Amino acid sequence: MIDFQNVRKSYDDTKVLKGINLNIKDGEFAVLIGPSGCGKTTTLKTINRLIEPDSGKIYIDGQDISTFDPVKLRRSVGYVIQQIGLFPNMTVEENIGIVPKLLKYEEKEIDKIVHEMLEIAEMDYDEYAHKYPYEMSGGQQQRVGVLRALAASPPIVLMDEPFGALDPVTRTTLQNEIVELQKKLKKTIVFVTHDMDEAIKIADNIVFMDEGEIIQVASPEEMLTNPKNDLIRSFMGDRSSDIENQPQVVDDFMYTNISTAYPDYSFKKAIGLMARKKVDTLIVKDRDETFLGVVMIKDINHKLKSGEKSTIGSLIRTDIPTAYSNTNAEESFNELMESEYDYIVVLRANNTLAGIVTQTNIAKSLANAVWGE
Amino acid sequence: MTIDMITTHLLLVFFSVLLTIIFGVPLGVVAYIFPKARKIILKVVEVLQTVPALALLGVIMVFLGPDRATVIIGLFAYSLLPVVLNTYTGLVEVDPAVKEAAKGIGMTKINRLFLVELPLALPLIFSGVRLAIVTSVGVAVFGAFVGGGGLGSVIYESIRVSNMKLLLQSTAVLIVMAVGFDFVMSKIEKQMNKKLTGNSVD
Repeated sequence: MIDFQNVRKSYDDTKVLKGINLNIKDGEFAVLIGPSGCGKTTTLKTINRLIEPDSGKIYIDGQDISTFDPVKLRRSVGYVIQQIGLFPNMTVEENIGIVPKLLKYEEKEIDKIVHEMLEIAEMDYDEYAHKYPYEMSGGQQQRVGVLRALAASPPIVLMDEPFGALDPVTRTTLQNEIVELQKKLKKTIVFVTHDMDEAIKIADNIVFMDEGEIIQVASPEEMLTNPKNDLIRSFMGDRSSDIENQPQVVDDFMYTNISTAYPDYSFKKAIGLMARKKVDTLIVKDRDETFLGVVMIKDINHKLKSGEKSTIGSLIRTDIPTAYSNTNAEESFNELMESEYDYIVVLRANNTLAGIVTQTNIAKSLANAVWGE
Repeated sequence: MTIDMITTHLLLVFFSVLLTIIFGVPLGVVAYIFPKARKIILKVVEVLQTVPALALLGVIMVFLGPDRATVIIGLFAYSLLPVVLNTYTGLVEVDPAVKEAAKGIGMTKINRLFLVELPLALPLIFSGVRLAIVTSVGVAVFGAFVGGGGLGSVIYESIRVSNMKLLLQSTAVLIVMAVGFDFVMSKIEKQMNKKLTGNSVD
């Protein structure tokens, strides 16, 4: 557990940290975010004492870190930076093994750790261990940067915009990997970013800072639905409104341009209508718009083959799933997924026909929610 | 001109540059670590090189007499600048990200210096040594005036008796020596750079 108690820091007349109080639990993925100059990186660097606070205390597992030897403290806290900072004069193997080496682990032990680490990142030992940093892409270099931070099994890992300099595709991949890694290794991770997408994706808790103060600490969901001020809302961009406008009832998904028939249509008339509308079912309603059921082309064909000539009224199926327009969307989706039909009929409160929801409608709406209109 | 004279010349250069490395690199490191010492160290080595070589040798001869030691110490003082300055510059110019990472993962100052900063400054330090050697090959010629021997005495003698053939021979050897050292060491330097960055930067 990391505990900040009223931590302050000034440079000349500029107050960089104005009394930070923050608690980060064991195994928590905490993301510090805010506009540039908000103090997020300063806060991070006080944890491994690269920056010393003017006043206030920071405790790790109840122990005041100002009483620790800074060098020992740093060897027990992983550190990953945006510019990666691998040692160009060392191979991948030597870079990963450097902290264990500083801690005077035995050669065998270091060798074992390097193998384990490369395995975690799914990097082949024979292919990568003896490469120099410049021989790898930025993404691979930062993977090694993360492994270097993890090699001595520190319970806490500090990451200062680690993926900020990578291309978007590599960034996404590494974000996924770090989330997986954290789940697997149960590290306490303190992660600085200015990218809200990144924060929402990876954080257990987002710590939003501005002008040296913590404005809000909340889970991504909580911060999305309940941002504390306009600045946070603007950082969230359009996402908050996405959530508010998110389709909640089937009405929002409904498709109203549908092919309907009355029960007294002859088989021939119904088939003609289906052919024109290029559909294989018709929704049958009463003259007063009351929903009756559906008629399927295969049923009509079956009757035609046996030579019957009648109206479609005798073929109405009533087992199609229905929902009222104010039904919770999720509920009706589940029903649709389990149904043999590929749509749901939506009814108004008085059982008149309102529209249908097809699987395609849902897919489109989900796509809009995810990628925007 | 005899092989002996060439050997003497090379030995003068060798021992003086050896001294330059032994004292120059640590001086560069001290200049890097202690900002207060920096100005003094850099100024002194600069002045040493600004003094005309012959004058410097003369001054040393006043104290040590005409001897090979005089030449070696003179060459040493004269070629300190490139080694000290390149060591200092090489250490200062190590990528700040690498320095921060080194500190952040828990390296002490000594760890940082020996595991990271000096290895990364090595190509530039080597370049300083190359300059020191090439300069010394030339300056060692003046050694003849203060009892050092070497190719300087051949050149001096051939000028005195107007032996143009001998003059050409001895200067040719001198040129081959300087250009040869420069060429070979430049190649090594490029290899060093390539190992660190993948580029063979001049």
